[in-house]
Amino acid sequence: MRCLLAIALWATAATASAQAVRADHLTAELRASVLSIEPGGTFDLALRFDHDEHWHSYWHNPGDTGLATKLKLTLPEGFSAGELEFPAPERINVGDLVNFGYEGRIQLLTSVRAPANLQPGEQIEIKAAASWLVCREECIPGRAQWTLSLVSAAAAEPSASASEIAAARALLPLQERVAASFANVGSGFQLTLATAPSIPQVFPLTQQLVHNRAPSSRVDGAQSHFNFARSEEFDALPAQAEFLIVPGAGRRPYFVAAQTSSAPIAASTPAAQSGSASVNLLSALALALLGGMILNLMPCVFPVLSLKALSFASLSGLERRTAVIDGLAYTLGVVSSFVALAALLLVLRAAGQAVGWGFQLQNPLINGVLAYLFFAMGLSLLGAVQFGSSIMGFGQSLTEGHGARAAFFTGVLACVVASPCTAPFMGTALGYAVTQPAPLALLVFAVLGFGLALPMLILSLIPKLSSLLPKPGAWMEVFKQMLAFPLFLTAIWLLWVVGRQSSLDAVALLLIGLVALAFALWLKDLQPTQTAGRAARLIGLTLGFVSAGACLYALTSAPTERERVSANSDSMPYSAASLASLRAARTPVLINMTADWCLTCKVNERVALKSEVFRAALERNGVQYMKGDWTHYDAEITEFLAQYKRNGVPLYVFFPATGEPRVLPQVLTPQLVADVLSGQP
Amino acid sequence: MNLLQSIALGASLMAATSAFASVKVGDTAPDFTLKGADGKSYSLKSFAGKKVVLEWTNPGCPFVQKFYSAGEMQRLQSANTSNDVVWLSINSGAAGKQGAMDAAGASALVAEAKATPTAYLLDGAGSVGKSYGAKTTPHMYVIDPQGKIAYMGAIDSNPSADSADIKGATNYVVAALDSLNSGKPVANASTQPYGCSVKY
Repeated sequence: MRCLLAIALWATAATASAQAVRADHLTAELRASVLSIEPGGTFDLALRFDHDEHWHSYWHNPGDTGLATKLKLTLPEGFSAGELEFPAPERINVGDLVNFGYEGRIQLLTSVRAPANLQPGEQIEIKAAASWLVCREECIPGRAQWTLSLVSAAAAEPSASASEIAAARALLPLQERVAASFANVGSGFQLTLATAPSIPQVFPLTQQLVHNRAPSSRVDGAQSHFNFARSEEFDALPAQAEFLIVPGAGRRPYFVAAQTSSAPIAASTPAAQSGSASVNLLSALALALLGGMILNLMPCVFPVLSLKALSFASLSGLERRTAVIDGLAYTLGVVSSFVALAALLLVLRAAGQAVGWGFQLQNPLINGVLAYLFFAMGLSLLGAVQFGSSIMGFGQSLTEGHGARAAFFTGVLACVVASPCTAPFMGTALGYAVTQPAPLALLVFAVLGFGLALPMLILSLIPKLSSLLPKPGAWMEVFKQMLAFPLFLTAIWLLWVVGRQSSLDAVALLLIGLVALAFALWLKDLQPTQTAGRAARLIGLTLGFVSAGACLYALTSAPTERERVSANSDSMPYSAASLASLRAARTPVLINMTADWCLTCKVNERVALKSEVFRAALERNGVQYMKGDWTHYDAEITEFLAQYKRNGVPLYVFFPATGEPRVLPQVLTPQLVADVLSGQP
Repeated sequence: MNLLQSIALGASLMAATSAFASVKVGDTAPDFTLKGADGKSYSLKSFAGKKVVLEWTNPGCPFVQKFYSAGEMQRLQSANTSNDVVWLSINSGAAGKQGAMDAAGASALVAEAKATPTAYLLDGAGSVGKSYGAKTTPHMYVIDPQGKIAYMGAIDSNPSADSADIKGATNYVVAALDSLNSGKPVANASTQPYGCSVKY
């Protein structure tokens, strides 16, 4: 071996507090938060790393490769030190591998307690030896050791680093473990937490349990589910599964510890809860097939496909062969679109985005495009506009056109129009799919698409069946027009979703866009004879399409739901379980029990709880704002009210991080609330 | 824009992920044929009926150096190969990456390190490493005489890059081979591997 173990550096430094050591690809420094130690007092030692750009060191659980940083202290008699505490890491991908670590500047802290019998004036010598691994793609182990010389005094004197160390400590995860539930789902695992205002990052502390990739997440009311694939090194289920939860938005990270149960639970959808308890590949495929077939009946799909189905009834003889080819091309179109959408989903998940099925509808822009599509299809079915056969798989060509290419794109369109709809059984199958390795997940999606395509495929393959369909006639035109209305309703539903996601302004923009679209489509079919008329038509057409497009584009700059929530209310719905877990995590909580019919409540909210002062106070003090809506009867809220001997709203209670809860008066002012939140009497 | 970036990043990850599989304890060890540093071809099939140790290695990795500089890996290789165990060191480093070798370089390395594996195999394409899901160097696999994975994971119980830590750690490969020899089930059959990433 030419190249022996390269120890980065072995430095010895003896100073009062800080001494930087330049090692390979990072600068290490050990600092104490105090210059002098008081008897019985506690202080921090901070190991600070400044990594070179692109280089990283590791968390407790380093992930697929790497090694956690260690700090070994040699303390004088009577001193004791806690564990080395790590701030929240980030996922660092190297090729296929996922590591947990840090780039840039970090501080690892350990808390040291001095004995009570310390004599003032005593010299205190603390030896510290750090060892770490610093990696870009290649890795270099490093070491350094320091000797800190401190002195004891009647009162502790903070060092120059004290405030920086205190700031680092305020960001460290809370050490005590919060309970959570953890269970087998399919061949993976599901962690369930109380829903927080934003989706937290989740890091496994327990090794050899879950895959280190970011989990997919799903919010189900007051509960959020995080689905992990099984670790490739999984051996046996440990008694306890520990995770670090990083809520973001200025909230402290915290650890959860879950008792593991080997009893599998199904992905929680109503269908799964009433059905069998465990989902395996076979049952997932069966559910996907069934769900896909039922999709045909959903209001977003049925109008489009029923016309296609009816068009088979008019076929005979030679046309039958074309129908078979059509049916196969259509199936191919549906299946490949589903697989493409699923592949995109998996890619986003691999890139660390916490997405689940339906992710495409989380984007207001896509919902806007779909609303346009449904509206235009509705207009076409009504006969208000005509689409030429050049627009593939759309309008007339969809329902009446033939040819393998048109049929393929009809399949693509079927997938597109089906995307806002969820059929029974789909949830279970897809919940299973996202915890599986990519090939299996894609298989489930392909089967779902096949299920959607199946009825039409059968119709095209078995001519006898189409004779069972009603005979074509004038009634078909009426039927076709009638089918426009479910499409309009679907468009309205999509607009409502956009409204929930961004704002009323966004909905108005989209409505204007729809009018512009209708205007352009109407102009399209006019055939002016005069040159001036033709020019006006062209200008109008351009204007119509451009403004429809511009309205969509403007959506991208409208504030999203999450931004708006954090900008305005930032509240979460009350549940006793969320309150308990927030309290356990030492997050201060303000509870507002309110009801729509309660005038005092609304006045208080308008005057005090929507004010800038209030919002700033929430943010400054890291307070979670929780709202209980008593507009309708709610047993949990009633119980909470009873604890405070109330039988009506409003009730405002502030739970500080530690200590007794405090009931606020029934009439609020912004300043009063802000004072309470910052802990003033 | 963010979404587009994620898609681009995801697509590249997907491309990289496509061939990455993993084996489990009890699975049939995937067969392979690789060129050795000595220029000969070696296939796993030809060792059927014997216990086989696979050692993922990279001479540039400090965790590998931990075991070679102390002579520990060489000791394990000679002790086991003389006991009818097949020991295959596999270098899955891609050309141009740290520790990647050609046959001449590898045979010089083996000679200089006084290493005595049955063969030092070159997997520059990374296909064998990926078919086993080898993540780290070292990453160890023990295959029983029936061709099934009997152990996979770390070389020992002390994740560190310091040769001084070898003593006192439990060597999982030795423990797995001992269990196979005495016909007992392998305890700790799958452990968390530690080390540098394999430089695919």
